[in-house]
Amino acid sequence: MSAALLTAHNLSVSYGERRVSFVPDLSVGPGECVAIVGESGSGKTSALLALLGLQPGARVTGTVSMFGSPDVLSDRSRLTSFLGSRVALVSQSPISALNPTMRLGRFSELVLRKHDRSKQQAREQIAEALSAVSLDQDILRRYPHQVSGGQAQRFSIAIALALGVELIVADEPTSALDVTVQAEIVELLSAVRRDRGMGLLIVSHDIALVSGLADRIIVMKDGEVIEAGETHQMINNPATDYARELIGAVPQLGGRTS
Amino acid sequence: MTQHDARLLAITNVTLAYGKRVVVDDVSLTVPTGPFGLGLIGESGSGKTTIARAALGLLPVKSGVIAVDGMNLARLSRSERRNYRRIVQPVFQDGTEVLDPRMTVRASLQEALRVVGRPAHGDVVADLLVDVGLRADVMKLHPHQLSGGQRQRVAIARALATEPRLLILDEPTSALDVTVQARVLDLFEKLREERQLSFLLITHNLAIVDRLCDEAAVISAGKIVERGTTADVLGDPRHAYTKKLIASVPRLAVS
Repeated sequence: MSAALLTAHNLSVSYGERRVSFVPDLSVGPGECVAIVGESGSGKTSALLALLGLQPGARVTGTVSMFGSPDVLSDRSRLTSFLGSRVALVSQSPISALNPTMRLGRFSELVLRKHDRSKQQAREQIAEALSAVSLDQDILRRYPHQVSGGQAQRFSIAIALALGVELIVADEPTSALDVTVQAEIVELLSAVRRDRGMGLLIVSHDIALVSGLADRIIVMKDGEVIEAGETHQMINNPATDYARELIGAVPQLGGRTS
Repeated sequence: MTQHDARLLAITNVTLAYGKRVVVDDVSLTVPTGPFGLGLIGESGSGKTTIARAALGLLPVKSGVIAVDGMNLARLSRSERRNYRRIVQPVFQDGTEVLDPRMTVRASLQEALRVVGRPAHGDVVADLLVDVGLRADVMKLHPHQLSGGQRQRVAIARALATEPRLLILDEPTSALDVTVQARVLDLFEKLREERQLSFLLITHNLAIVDRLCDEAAVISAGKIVERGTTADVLGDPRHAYTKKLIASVPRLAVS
């Protein structure tokens, strides 16, 4: 097995005296998908942002190693240098992650040039990434308000591909999308993982959605990990009442129709 | 299944537009007297919420007729309007939208009771809260002191205050956590039977239609593409779009 892209031990996020999130153990390897599942206030997003050093104002402790660097929490400049070059964040509202005053073409070119691509390289890599996510090249002429949520989410994944990152960290990547579009984005993430060996760390409230994608699931509630394990094992045989409740609460088709 | 003949809500050949842009095109739907649920399923921009707005009298029809209990919404007399307001109540995605942030839960519910001339003393308010699964002492609180699930229950209590016969539910559980959502669905199921309610449930979520509705209609780009009993529409879909919607529902990977 190849070395993990990301590992965390005893990751703790606090505001003042109040600890909002504690994750004892987390590891994502190349081509692996790990999901953190929980409801509002479970601490799932706090953990995710803390891993990337994007939790200003919070006290973050623990050991996070990334791409072979042993303790990136105490080496902020190294962590920052990984953002956009080796790890990319995909957010819930892709349109607000884009600059409203810029056409997507100019925006993506600036992002790639900031990561040391020449103009020519930037254009080529973006064109290639757009076709990988099945977006038409015409989208580069549009402004963020002229694209749909699904297109914007594909576009943000395309930027991650163009940057050549090894790990995508996604915070509720499909929650703002229509159900048919949601299925397409899940399919795309799954393809990116399969074809490029991309590691995925996904935060979601939807255990059904991640059950088709993740190798392992971490269930959080009120800032603590309640249960963690292989997806298959957890879905079929949850060890805790809360995981059972979460799985049982998933609205499933077939109550009346079966 | 029981025979429903009385047409509580009749939407007949209705076309709705914002300015010149037609967003709902020649749609007909009926909801009989309850207990009954009609699910209207669609995605963003399908026109489903526009139909809800029209049925609530918030948007005039461009053509066609919307009638509630035989009263044409476009031509309500004063007394009919009062009656219509009592019979039809909405529940939206987020309870915050219908609750005045400055008012206590008690004051909000009392206002709703007084509007329809019902007694508004503390016992009636307490009964309403208990009916929706809340403790009576929640009445002293303001909306911001409640959780999302509690707020939605208060919004449901407020809708019930007028003793309605038809609830128009527009994504009533989408803003809630899944475990909370499951309990609110249980509540709708209970109220439907106890109070003989009819639902027009507007949603993108097929599974909640499966739970609460006898019939389902699928709307895409302003047109109804498929309708029938819920079992037929979800179990044996005919239209390609319905099939795609069903295939897109995330399923638990249970072996």
